[in-house]
Amino acid sequence: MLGFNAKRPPPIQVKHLNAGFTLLEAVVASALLAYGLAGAVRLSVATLNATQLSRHVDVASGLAQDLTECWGVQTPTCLRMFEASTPLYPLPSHPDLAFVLTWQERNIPVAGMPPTHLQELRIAVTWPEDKQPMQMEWRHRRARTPLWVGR
Amino acid sequence: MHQRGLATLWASTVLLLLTGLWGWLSLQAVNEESLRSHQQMHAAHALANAEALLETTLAHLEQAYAADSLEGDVRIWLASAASSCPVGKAPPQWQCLLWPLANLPLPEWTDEDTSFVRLVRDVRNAPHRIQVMVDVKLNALHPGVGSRATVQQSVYVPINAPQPTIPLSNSPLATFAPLVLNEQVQSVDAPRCDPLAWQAVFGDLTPLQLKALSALQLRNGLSAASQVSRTVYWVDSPQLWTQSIGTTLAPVVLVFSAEACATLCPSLATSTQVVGTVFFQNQCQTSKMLNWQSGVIAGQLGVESSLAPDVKLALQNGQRGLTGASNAHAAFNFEWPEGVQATRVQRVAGTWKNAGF
Repeated sequence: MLGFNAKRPPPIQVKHLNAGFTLLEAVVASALLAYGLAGAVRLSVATLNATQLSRHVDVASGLAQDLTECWGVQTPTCLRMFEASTPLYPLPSHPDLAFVLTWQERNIPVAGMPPTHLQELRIAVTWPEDKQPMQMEWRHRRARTPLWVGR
Repeated sequence: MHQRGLATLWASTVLLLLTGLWGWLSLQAVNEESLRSHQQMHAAHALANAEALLETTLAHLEQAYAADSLEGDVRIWLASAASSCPVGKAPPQWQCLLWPLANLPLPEWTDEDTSFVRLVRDVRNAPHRIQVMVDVKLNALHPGVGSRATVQQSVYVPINAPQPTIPLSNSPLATFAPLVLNEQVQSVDAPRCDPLAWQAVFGDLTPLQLKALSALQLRNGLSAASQVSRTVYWVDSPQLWTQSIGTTLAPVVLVFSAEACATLCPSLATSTQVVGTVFFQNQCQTSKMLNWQSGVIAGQLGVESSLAPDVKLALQNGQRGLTGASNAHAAFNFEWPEGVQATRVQRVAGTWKNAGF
């Protein structure tokens, strides 16, 4: 080592070339984030729609069952329900969302028995869902077999 | 500071992943909720279908019992089988039947292959009370295919009649008169026999009904030797009765019919004992009771005529083996609601339910 004229190597020069790359990364990241957020918003909208549909289906089921239970019951409330098929607005949060109940009563013939011995009530509930009409059908039957016949 | 851009990208990616995960979870939650809502609706539809099938069955039961209830009863239960019985309700006490669905106008969306209507009754204690069990599955035409519901209800059918309460006493411990006779004197011009003794013993229960109940018990395998013993015996044979039947806990009714009494009424062999009610349909003719040998009757003896004075006196004094019992009518005193008109099919109050057997 002595006598060797060692030269110091030239210092390595580091150039800061990533100044523009940071901006590009930020743009890509923002785009990704925006895309993700847009997806999340779309998911949220889909979620809201699905929840709303479930709620409307529940409401329609309830209305159909309500009408079914009132079939043949001679109270003013029940008799009024069968007077005419008027639109119902059961959701205070959507005061203009109309549910329309239509029904048809038919006799099911049983040989040797009066025509009304066995009857069927067919109910259809319709309502708009995303501007598309939705419909649910319900069936109920009733026999004239009495509960108690006294002397 | 030099890695600032990469950190931003990394943070954004993580955020994106987290947002995606959150969105996916939200969607899953909503899907689950939506599925639950639809399943609830399908279950409600299945229940409505089961109710509809139950009503249809009741309507057809009423039709079957409308014209001739006894004949209708035999016709309906012809297809009864032990294999149709639910667990814990086996013959000979229980009679069970799977109603052929092909004979019923099924409600829409009912899967005929997997749905069933089961009729069950206790032929000994309550043959007039049928439990109707309906199990329905929705078919492939309904979005809720496979949804299932069960409902059941009991009905009274007019194959017997309620018993009148004992005069002057509503107590179940009251003892019946041990001897019931028809002291009516028959007119020679119009030999008509009013069945006063029958009415006093059986009330509105008719001979045909009792005969049908006897046949039903026999057909279902009940006998004096079966684990649950037979309680109704209708005898058309004029031969001497030699079988001891009935116990204090399970009294019987033994009727010797007009056919058995065609010439002379049969009698109980001296050694036989009957706990319950014994009745002779001897058509108001005392002469048909000359064959009387007596046995031991613990309960009630009914005769559709008077008896020879000495026999009558001895029986009334308990000298010929006749003693009273508080439950002499238990074999045919079927449970009916107070004041009911037992001439048509009617629902039993409080028996509708939509769960289990």
